[in-house]
Amino acid sequence: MTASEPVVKVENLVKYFPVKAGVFSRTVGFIKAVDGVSFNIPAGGTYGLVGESGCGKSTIGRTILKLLEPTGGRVYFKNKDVFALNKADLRVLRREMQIIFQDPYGSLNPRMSVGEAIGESLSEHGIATGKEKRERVEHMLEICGLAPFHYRRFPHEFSGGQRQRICIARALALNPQFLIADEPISSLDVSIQAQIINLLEDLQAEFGLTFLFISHDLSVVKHISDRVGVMYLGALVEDAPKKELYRNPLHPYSQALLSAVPVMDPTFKKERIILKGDVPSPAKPPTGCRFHTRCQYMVERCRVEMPPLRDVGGNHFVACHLVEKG
Amino acid sequence: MSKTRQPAALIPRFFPRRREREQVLTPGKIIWSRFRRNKLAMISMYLILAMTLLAIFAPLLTPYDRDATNIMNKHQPPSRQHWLGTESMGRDVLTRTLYGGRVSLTVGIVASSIAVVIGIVLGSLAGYYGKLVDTLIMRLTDVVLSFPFLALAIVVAAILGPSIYNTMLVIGFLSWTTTCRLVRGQFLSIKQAEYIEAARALGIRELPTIYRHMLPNAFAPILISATLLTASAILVEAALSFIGLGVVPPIPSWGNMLEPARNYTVVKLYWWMWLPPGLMIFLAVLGINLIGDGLRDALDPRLKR
Repeated sequence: MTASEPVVKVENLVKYFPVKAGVFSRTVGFIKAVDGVSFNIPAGGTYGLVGESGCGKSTIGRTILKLLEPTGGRVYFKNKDVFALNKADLRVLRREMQIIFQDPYGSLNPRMSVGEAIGESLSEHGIATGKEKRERVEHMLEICGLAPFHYRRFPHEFSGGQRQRICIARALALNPQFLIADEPISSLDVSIQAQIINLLEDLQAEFGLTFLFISHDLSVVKHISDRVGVMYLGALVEDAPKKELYRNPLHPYSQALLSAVPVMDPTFKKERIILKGDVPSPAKPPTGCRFHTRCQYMVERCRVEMPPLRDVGGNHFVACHLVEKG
Repeated sequence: MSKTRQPAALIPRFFPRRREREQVLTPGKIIWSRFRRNKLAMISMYLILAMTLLAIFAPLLTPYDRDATNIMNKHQPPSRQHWLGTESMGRDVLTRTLYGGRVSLTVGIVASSIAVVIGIVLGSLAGYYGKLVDTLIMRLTDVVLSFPFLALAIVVAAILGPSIYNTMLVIGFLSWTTTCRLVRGQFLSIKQAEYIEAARALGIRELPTIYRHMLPNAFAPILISATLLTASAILVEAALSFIGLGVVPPIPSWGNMLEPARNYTVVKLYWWMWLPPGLMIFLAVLGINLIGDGLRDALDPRLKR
C-alpha cells in the first residue's frame, strides 16, 4: 500500500440480517451478508469492490456509512470510530462521507426540484442559505456537467445519465472527502457509463476524493481502481493492487471471474473457467472455505478449515489454502 | 497511473449557459394538465366552486333574512317573490338553502380536515417509526373503527348538546382511520425508497425527512382521501341533522332542512321544501366524489401522460 495513512479503515466488518418467521416473528436464522471483511483505502485512492450480485458489496457500502446498523466490526474514518459516534457527531461526519446509489431514478425525490435536492444538505447543516446556497448549487451543477438553469427543474425531466450527475452533485455539495459509489453506472447505457466514469475521475482529481467503487463490472473496476477486493458470499477472497490482480489472480474464484471478462480481440481465444452450480445461500454458508462447493481445485482441507486472508507477498492477499506464499 | 484525465473545466458542456424564465414542468403542473382533461371532474369542480361562491355571497344574493318567520306566509309555492317558495314558518326556502350551503360545506371541510390532520400525524408516526408505535396506533384505529358511529354521535349529542361544532368534532374524530391507514401504508413503502436513504446519508434530520421527502410523496392518496372524506362528512352531517342530532334550527343546514320531509304531507304537498336541499346534498356529494375520482386518475403514476 502507498505510504500515506489510510483514510478509511474497515476492520472485520460483519452484517447479519435476521430471518424472521412465524406469528411472533422469532428470529430463526441470519443472512450473513457481510462476514468479517477488512480493507483500507489510502487518501485519494480508489478501492474497487467486485463480486456477483448478492455477495454483500452494497451492504458493505451502506454499513460503512451506518445506513445499516452493523452487526460487528469497526470502521475508522480518519482515525475516528464511525460506529462509536453518537447521533449528533455522526451527522457532522456525514458531511465528509457520501454515497451515490445505483438507481438514479429511485434516489431522487420526484417532488423536489434539482436545486432543492442538491442544496438541501447545505441548509440542513447550516453551511449556506439563500443566495449563497443557490450559487453553490449552480456551481455544483456546472462542475457535474449540468447547467445552472436546471436548478428549478424536476428529476422527471432528466435522462438517467443526467440524473446520476444530479446525484453526484448532491453528494458532493457537502464537499466530502470520501465517496462510496455503489454501482453508479450499472443502470446506465454504455455510452453514458463512460461519461459518468470520466466525471468521477475528474472530480476525484479536482477534490482529492477517496473512492470506494462498488461494481460487478470488472473492466470498469480495472479502469478506475488502484486496489481491488474480490468478494464471494460476504467475504473477501482476494485483495490486491489492481495490476497485480488482473495480471495474476490467485484465488480460483477471481480467476473464474476474470476469465469471463470479454477481450477486445476477436482472434484471441481465452480459456473460460465455467463455475459449476450456484452460489450457496448466505443464510447457510458452506463450512470451511466458502468457495469449496464450486472450486475445481478443492481438497479435503477446504471442506473443514476456513482459509484466512493472508499476504502472499507484494501486498497481495488471498484466502485460499492452495496458494503458496511467494 | 495512465488515466486520460481532463481538467474539470474542460468537461464538455452539453447545455448552453443561460438563465431565463423558462417553463418548468413541476409535478403539480403535470397533475393539473391531466386533471383538466377529465371533463366530468372539471364540470364538478366548477359546480362545487359555484356552490361555494353562492354560499359565501348568500347575504348579497337574497333580500330575505335567513330566520325571519312569517306564519301568515307559510307553505307558499314558488313564486316571483319566493323563487323556491316558503316553508312551514314562512321563511324563504332559497335563502335558507344558500345559507344552509355555508353550514354543510363548512362542516364537510372542517370535519374532513380534522380527520385528515389526525390521520396524517398518526399514520406517519406509525409508518415511520414502526414497531411498538405502529402496533399501538394500529390497534387504536381498530378500536375507533369498531365504534358504532350513530350510537356514539347520539351519545355525544346527548352529553354536549347538538351543535355545528360538536357535529364537526364527532365526524372528524371518528373518520380519520382510513387516512391513517393510507398514510401508514404509503410511508412504509416510501421508507424503502433510495432517496430516503440518500437523505439519511446526507444527514437530513428525521422531521425534515418526513415533511420534505415522505409527505409530499404520500400527497396523492391523502388528497384523494381528503376529498372523499369531505363528501362523506357532508352526508353524515345531513343524516345527523335530519334526525335532529346535528345542526339545530334555526341555523339552516341542508340536512335539517330535510327534516320536515319526515312528515308525509310535506313530501306529498310541499315539494319545494325538501327538494332544493336534497338536490344540493346530492349534487355536492356527487361533485366532490367526481373531483376525487378525477384527482385519483390525474395523480396515478401508472397512467403516464
